[in-house]
Amino acid sequence: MGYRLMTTPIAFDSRPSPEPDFISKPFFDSLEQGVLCVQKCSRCEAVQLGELICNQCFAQDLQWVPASGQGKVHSCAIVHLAYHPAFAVPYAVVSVELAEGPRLLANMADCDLQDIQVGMPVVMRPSKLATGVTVPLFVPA
Amino acid sequence: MAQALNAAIAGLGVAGLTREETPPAAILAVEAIGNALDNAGLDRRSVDGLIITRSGAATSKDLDLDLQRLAGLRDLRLLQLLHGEGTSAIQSIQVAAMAVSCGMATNVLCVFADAPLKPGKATRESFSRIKSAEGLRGLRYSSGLFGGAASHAIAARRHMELYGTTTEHFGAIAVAARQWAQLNPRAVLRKPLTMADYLAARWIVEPFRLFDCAMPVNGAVAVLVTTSERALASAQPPVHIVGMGQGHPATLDQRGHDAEVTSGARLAAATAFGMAGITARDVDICEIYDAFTYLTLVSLEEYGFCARGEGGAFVASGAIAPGGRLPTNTGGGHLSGYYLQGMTPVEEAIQQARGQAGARQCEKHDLVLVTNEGGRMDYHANLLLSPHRSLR
Ligand SMILES: [Zn+2]
Repeated sequence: MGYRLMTTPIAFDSRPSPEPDFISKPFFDSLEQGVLCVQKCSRCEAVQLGELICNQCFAQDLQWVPASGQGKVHSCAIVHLAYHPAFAVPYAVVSVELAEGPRLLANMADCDLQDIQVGMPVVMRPSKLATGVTVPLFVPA
Repeated sequence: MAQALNAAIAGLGVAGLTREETPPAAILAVEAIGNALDNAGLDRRSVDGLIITRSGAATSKDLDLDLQRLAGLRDLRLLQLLHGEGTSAIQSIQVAAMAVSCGMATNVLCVFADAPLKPGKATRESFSRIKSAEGLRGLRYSSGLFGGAASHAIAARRHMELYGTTTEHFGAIAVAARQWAQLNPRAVLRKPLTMADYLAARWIVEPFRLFDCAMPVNGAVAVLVTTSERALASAQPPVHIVGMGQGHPATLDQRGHDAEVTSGARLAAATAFGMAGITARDVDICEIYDAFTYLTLVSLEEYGFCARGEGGAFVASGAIAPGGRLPTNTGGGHLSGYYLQGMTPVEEAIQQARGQAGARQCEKHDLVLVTNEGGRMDYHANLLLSPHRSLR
């Protein structure tokens, strides 16, 4: 994929793939074009991710809009137990809080495990799986 | 509400509780049911309700409604398979309590059974199954977050960042659990565990080491729920259900919300404490769903035994260990006792409330709080158990 994966040799292509569904298809379609999107409520403008109805005003009028792709590490875990062949241990899973507010789970690239800090600024890079589905990956900003 | 609740636990039976090979879960369930009936001094004909619960990782092949026939139970007035992730066991007892209170049934068996340990199969394979890869939830698996340890590790790490909670704080919980387990013949891990031993153990998912995580077993627990009047006439000291509640917050995963350091316990506590007319200060013993050390810590905070962020200092003070001011997970819990999900804390709470806990019996056992936790702190349920029908 062209990313420098230091202590976390994750076989990115063979990771278990999300299955885009009714709500999330636009999210994954935009990622394939390299753009991370979030949902914005047409009524109250609240930004969110993965909802059917607005989690603030409960209107069913959410539109997908491009996000900045920037965020910060909200929390992280270093996995040492081998659960899946795509992930050689140890590897990090991060919860990233996007600049727009919503959080999502992802992996980091271009960063040593010990350098991952909660609060560190990160930026999104699209990462394509063998199934053709693209997921967000983050690198230090 | 307290007047409407008329329910008690009159029978307790276990089967298995072992890391050795066992028969399948359904067979263990039948054995536990038989033991619960013997314990209560009742026969099968007096049972008119059955509520079955199983692991979120189990399927109908492991345990389903067919258990009724297998266990020789006929003409039931209440039968269901209930699913609430880790809160299933307590939820089943709550439903049974409501059913006997309103007269829909009189003797209801609640049974949980699981047999995740199979020869030649790593335990993690039983607990790390991909549940749903649909939509954005699938990002969990594409990023390698399998199993409960990883999702709770993310939460624990957030607590450390926000409140300065340390790895030694988690260690204090693991060490206390082991101290209690040494007094419990049913506990799987009974070797002494020092803080140095805890810190030397291998990582599972940082910040969790080996002894931060539950000890799975094959086994079953069955509980017989009846009215308080019937329990008074039963073979065992009565254990009244004096309060109960649930809390399912669906906290948002976005800025301004703290799903990692909160749970449904706060909501469930308000309901149960209000029903029983008590406050956290009245609780003598806690039996907390501790699949991971962190769950003990966050639960103590959410129930108000200490302020949010102070759970680390609270456990480091020795409060939850033998001799401490709030005896907690007195059988060793999931960590050192055995992991049978929601039934582990229930089983120990019944023994403590009855005064039958042997070497680990707590002197004061007038009010025992039992909790169940499901998902990644998404679902919560509790019971308040007492040898007294009313605390007011
Ligand atoms: Zn809105």
